[in-house]
Amino acid sequence: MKIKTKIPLTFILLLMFIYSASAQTGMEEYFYQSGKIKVVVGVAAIVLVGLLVYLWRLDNRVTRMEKDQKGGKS
Amino acid sequence: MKNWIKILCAALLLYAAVFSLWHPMAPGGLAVSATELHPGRNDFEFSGYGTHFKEAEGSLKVYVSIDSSAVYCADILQVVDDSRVFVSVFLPDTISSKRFGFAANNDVDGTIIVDSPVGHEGFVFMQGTGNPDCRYSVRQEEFSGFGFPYQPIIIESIRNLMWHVPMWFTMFVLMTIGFIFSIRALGKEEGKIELDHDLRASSAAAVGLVFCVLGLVTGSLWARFTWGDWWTNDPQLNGAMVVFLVYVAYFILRSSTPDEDKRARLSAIFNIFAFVLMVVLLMVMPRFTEGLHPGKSGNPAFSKYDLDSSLRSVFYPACAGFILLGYWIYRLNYRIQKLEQHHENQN
Repeated sequence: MKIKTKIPLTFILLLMFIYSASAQTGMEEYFYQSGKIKVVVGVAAIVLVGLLVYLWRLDNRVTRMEKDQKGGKS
Repeated sequence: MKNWIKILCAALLLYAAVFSLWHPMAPGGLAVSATELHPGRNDFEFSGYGTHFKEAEGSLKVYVSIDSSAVYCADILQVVDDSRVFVSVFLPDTISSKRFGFAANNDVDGTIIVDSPVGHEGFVFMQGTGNPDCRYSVRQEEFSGFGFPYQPIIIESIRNLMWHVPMWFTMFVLMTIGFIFSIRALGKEEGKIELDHDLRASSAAAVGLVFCVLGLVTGSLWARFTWGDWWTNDPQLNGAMVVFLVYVAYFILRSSTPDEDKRARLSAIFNIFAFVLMVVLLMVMPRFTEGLHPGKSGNPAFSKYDLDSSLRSVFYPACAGFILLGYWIYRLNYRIQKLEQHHENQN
């Protein structure tokens, strides 16, 4: 349950970061630069980060099982 | 999962990631510096995106078109660089309409058009006023080279097509897998529920939900810099949000039902309804309504203009790659959950 709440939390934090960053006018100009290529960079980064966060979560579940198994045997 | 599927998935994603960013853009008209046209000499700067004004200086022509019938040629051209040219156009007192357009033409880029609204002052309007001096039949020569199509406002961010749209396609595939296993879980002999099928259904829906979130967030960012807002009241966007919330409710329902058998039964029924709702809200409803998001008013998801062959060459591999990746992650999720169950039963 603890880890399950982490994923939405990460996305909310990510969203909050983008929201707060866009409040500064500098961000606006940054994203409009050179034909909005920066928007593509942002979108690709979101996809990558999202998938990595999910893989991290899967990894944690395996780790927990491994730990349990070790604890049970000794 | 077979190894060749994993290798295929990696190859497709690598191809899509590289070429969604690698391919050039087709040239297009960016803006004109003129805000108001008046009779007499008009001097302004015509700027293009990815154009070759300097390279093809010899064949460059710039026009002001009026109602696309009468055309006035720029008689003074001063090329600054490949994307900028200063022009001077002489306009008479009497013209046929106030629908101004700007176009440039050269041998490399073909015809590029700037369709920005521009003011006017001091003209007399009279229907059918032509211009015999500048013979140019607003021909639409297309760019012959390879490049993603230029669209005003979107410009380079058309490359997002290869990142944002596959998220939704992957979600559809994963939710379909979940739907099929939910039906199969219920379709067992009376009074019994197949727990393994329930596990597969929930694993697929969990990964589908991740792709749904990615689709929403990437779409939100793209919307911010295309339509100017993080969220617009578009039927497709609101439908996607409702689908997201429905699938979140699916997992809340699961976690609030401790009894395994009851949980499997309830969530299977819920999942079937959720899937039907998803198809209706994301694939059926948006086509009967108006909105900003592409794929509206009875069109298939993309018109010819939205998705030309250069985009297809990257878009389809990207979709296939992300769908395989989604399936791969779903299999991992399922196997880990299976192990966890096994593990719990042992202890």
